[in-house]
Amino acid sequence: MRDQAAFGTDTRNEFRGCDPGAPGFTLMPNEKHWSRTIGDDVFRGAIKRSNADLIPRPLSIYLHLPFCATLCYHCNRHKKVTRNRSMIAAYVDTLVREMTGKAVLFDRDRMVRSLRVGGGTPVYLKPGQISHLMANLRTNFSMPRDGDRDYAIDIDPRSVTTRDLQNLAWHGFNRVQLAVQGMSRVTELAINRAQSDHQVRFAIAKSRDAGIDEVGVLFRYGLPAQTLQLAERSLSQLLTTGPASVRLAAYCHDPAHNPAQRLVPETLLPAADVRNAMFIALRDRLIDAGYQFLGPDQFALPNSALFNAQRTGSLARHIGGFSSNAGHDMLGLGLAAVSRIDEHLFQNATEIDRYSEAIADGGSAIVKGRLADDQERAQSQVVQDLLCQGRCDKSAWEDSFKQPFDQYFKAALDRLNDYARAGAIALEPQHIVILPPGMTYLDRIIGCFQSTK
Amino acid sequence: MNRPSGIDRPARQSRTEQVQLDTQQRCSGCDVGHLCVATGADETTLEKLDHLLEIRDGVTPSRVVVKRGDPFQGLIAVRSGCFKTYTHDRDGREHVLGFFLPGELIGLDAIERGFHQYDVIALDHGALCELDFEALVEISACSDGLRKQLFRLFASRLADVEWRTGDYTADERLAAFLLDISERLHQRGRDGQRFELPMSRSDIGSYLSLATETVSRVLSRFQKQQWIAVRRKQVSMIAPDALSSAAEAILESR
Repeated sequence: MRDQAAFGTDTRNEFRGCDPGAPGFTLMPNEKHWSRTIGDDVFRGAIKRSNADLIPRPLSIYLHLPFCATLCYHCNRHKKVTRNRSMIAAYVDTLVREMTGKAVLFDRDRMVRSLRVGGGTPVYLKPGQISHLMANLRTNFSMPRDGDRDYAIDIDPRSVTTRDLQNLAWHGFNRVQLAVQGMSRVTELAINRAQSDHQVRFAIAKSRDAGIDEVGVLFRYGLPAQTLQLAERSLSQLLTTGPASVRLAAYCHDPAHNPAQRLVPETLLPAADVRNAMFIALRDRLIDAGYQFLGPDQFALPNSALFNAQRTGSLARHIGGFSSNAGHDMLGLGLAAVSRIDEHLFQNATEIDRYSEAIADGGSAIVKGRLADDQERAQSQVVQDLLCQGRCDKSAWEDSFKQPFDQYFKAALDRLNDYARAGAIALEPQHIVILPPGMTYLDRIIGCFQSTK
Repeated sequence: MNRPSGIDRPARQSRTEQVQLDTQQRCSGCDVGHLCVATGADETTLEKLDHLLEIRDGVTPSRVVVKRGDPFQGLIAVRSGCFKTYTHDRDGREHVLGFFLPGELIGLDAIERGFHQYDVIALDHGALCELDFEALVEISACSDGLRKQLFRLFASRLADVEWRTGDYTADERLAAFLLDISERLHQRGRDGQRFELPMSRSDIGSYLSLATETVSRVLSRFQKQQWIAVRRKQVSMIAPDALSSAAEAILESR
């Protein structure tokens, strides 16, 4: 445990609540910071202003496909478990209507450089439905077929087929993301997601056969019935498939908000100290295997898309993890999807009936928003710089915000002194630099710069 | 006053009021006077110009100040702000013909036909001066300085049209455009190294006969090459020499 000494006992849990792998800062403000009176008109105004930039920000599109065949107990996303195919068909129609309505708001020279399709289980849709959605995206937006783009989709190793993957590759996807829940029978059964080692290998191999080289994996730890040895063995097995990037995510047990988790026997949950030990052990195993530690929970092989994004400064951190779309405007389409335009946030309705009715009525389905003020922009730039580049250039910040950095962030810098003394960061006159031991504590360091969560 | 006017404005002030105009309201007190018609004018001519000009203050962005077909009454000098001349083709597509900065004259094209050929719209908050053409000609008859300056202003307008109609690449056009704006601002005592461009990408594209997509693509490449830095609508000229090399074909021809 190469950096434990620096901080004595690891107290990650005190800072992270139920989720030791998740950041101690947040990219998604609390409910109280959202306004329910912000809707379509503000959304349109923000896009109009953003269109007016001399060099327009590229677009990132997030497409939410919430349907799943079965319920996984660990999942806390907006999802709909159904076998009702007509419901899915209706949703696809609604989604097309939503994208048609919102696309016209954006200038046509705003290229879609980043696309992320998440769920739910996106590949639960038939290939024809995926094709229909992609064809409509291409009609409505400027989508580059080659070159500079990052088009990613979540795939489910239990159900994805060769045909699905070939279809995705044909539509320009160049990255697949898949989640591995421990890779052992006993943990998988405890969360109702039986996914064999063979299925994971098949999905990764077939993605590459289809021409999608970049495979990203979310590896979950702290699962019920998972031991340290089991977690390490599973990760080693996974690494033999050579994923380009691995994100470590802790299982978050929160039955009050996620009723399905009442089905998880609490006695099987690993204790907090075991979870922390897991994170450290898994992290070290990844580093030994040649992965670069990009952030608090993200690892990537040299020359992978995320690794290169960090090198070129295009790495950004969003609610869904790292992506290579720094400085983009993000348009979220679908149930509960979040848009970020000019740093302002907007969220679609989270109930499927309400969402569908709003779109059917010709509306935007946006039910709440949050306007970024100067303070938030000022903090956000530091957070993104430290998260994504591991350093923050004070003079660049001062150029943007016309204030002395040290004075503006005096309280944060005072709190950071402890981290500097422990060797986690270097507080230089012109820069703040995250040192290797600080990577694991990045979330807490960054939390110092956030006054609104 | 019942004559139709190119620019709508308050009724002409009475003679006595005009005499009492504060210096700000005169040609002689104008901060771009040295670039506009007042250049090289002697005291007497300046005084005549002061009485001639009609100022329209407080023009707001997106305000159409001249409509195509409006009768030509006089040349319009930009006092402050930025103005765009444009026309529509049969398909309703807009064609941008020029951007006008303080001290520059709008309406030269209308002299010949007696009515304005183009619409003029404000891109910014600004002010205009209208100079009655007949009176201007009369005054210039007695002033070599004014006559020469009028020729100079007419000639620079022609040069502007020439380079835009030549056979140049997108890079050459955009580099030349940025340098041109930068130089014109510098001449006006403004910051030519860092400035706001009030026009949109599609305006620039239309003006330079480029697709809007091309404008954003080339400008972002200029930025990647660290020739310029762009923040919202603000441009910082980081490597004007590199831009000059890129625009060499155009600059040489001028």
